[in-house]
Amino acid sequence: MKLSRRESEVVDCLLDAVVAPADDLPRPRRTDAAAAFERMLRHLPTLNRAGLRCLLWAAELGPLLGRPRGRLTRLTPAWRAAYVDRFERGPAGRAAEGLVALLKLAYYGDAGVMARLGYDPGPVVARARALRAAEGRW
Amino acid sequence: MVTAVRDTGARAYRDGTGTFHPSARRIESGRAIAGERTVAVDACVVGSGAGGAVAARELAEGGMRVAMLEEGEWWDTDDFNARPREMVPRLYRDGGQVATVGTPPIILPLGRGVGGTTMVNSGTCFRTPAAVLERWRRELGLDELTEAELDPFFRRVERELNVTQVPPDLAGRNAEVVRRGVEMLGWSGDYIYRNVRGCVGSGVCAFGCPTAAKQHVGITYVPRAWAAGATTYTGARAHAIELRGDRARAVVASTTAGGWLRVECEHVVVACGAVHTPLLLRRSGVRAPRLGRNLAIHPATAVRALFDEEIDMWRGVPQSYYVDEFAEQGIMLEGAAGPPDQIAMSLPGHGTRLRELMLRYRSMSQFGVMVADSSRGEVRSLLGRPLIRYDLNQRDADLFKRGLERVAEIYWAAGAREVVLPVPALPRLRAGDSGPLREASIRPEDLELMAFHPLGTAAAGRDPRRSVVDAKGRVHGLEGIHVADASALPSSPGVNPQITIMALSTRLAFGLLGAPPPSHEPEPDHIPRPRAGRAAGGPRTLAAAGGG
Repeated sequence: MKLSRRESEVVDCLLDAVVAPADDLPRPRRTDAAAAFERMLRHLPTLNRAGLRCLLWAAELGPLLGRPRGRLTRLTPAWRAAYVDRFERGPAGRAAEGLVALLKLAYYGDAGVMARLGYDPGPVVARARALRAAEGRW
Repeated sequence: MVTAVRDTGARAYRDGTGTFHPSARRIESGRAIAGERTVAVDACVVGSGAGGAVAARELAEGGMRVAMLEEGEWWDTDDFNARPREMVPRLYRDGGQVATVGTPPIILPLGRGVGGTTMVNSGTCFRTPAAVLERWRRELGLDELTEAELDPFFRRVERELNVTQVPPDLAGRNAEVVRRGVEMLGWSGDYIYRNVRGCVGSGVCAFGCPTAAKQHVGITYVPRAWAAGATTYTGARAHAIELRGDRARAVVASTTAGGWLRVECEHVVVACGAVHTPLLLRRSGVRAPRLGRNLAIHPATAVRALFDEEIDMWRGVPQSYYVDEFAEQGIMLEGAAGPPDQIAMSLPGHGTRLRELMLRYRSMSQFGVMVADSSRGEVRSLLGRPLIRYDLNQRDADLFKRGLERVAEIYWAAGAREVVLPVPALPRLRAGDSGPLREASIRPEDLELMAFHPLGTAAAGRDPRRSVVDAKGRVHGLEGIHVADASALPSSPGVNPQITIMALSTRLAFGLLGAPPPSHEPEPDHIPRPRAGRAAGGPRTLAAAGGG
């Protein structure tokens, strides 16, 4: 499964709106968030995956019904953020929250972002490997 | 006769030596079974989690030929990279997206792979509270399930899994601030007992323990089962149990490679969890009226607080401390720390508000609220997939509100600057003022919840009209079909249920073998007895709720 170019653009815009990068947090395009999101989609059951893709399109086309009118990918960052607020409170609210949760996971799981927040899994895994080797653990 | 006392202190918690390795890993992958294959055994165990792995090992060591069917894969510890974002899609069923349909929708994170959810849980171990057993006895006629009857089975499980108490220096700052608040308030709490061996506090129990310290059943019971001759078939999804008259005859499973595996057997132990067990039984022709109903999920949520000090939630054991002061009301508070991506995923809001919170991640604490629910749901099949219907009732929403208030009190006592609630409509609490929360009316749809302990969909009871299995786990009216997972629990025990499931599964296996209880098992030098239970499982009567 691969997202279409338009779907990928929607993901990028949503990531920008969800993350609102500033203060040393990198812009989503400078992380592997979009690729990670796509990888996560691959592990979902077909029905969930189709539902999330529908949500991407709903997010893209939903602003056509409001003001200012336009596709999500054409709106200014400020209007996108305002739209994501409405999106989460709208008829697809809980499903939209699920989509937003995956985007948060995708972005904050980037190695650089985690390091910025103080977490580096590298030493955790290295210590674990050493212990397992020394003590014959699984 | 008790022959020994087992140490449950810090030394036993830290000791990582003594891992058991069988001479061979008896795994057959469904990727390699493309045609049709038939095997004949004495017992087929469906599922390799808390219930299935335990039953498989005990039956195999008792002399039975055993086949274990597991829909997921075997995961090596080397696969665990301490990164939640990468591990959630691999280790969790449906990529972590199993959810209830109802008000509010609730995510049910379930493990998928050898070890089941024990591979991705927090490792918390509490015996079934005595008050819960008493209630099951009184209301459902489960007279056999007394503390004394279950004690040797619990001792066996606890010894096998090395259930020991988290030492304070591994509990992490997240637990430390909560303990400080609890002590200021004079409330009841303690460090949690967990199934670990040589834990160093890697902070990622829920995403595959990279040190193999967490003694999940995939690296404890399953290898023992292999050593006793059992085989695990991974990538094998059970479709139905074949019956001859009212007797089990075989289990038929599809494989990842598109083939079919037919396991002929005398005994079937179903342990697919509370979501899938009722569907398998229904596909197999079981028509118990309560099958799939009576779903309780032990819903949970989390409160976050911002401090002036560093917490670094990724350091130490994520779930290392509990507060049972309100457990008699059905409210249990437990640690819920984690790395930044895990925390971000569950934080409410987005944009500037989320960013501002996440930039303060290093001084953030998170603690969980679990409610022993009186709400009930059901599981049925829709287009071949489970449809999990569950609506939280107002009584449980009120319990959540009370729990949130109590956690806020703890955080204020511990010196928090701000408290962030899992209720998007409510503002962040500041300056020790819980007024906005206290004055709010919280409806079920206002809450953001998760649930880690689905149970009750093939509930035990004496009356076949109002239950699915008997006190020994046998499906009423059928020979050779048994249930050994959380679906057999009639109601939430009010505490994490993993060793309740394991003890009942051990008892089931001993029953099938005709063996006496393992009374020689060592007595732990301490057993935690949280106050949980008197109100746990909530409804006025369990029978009225469909549990009996």
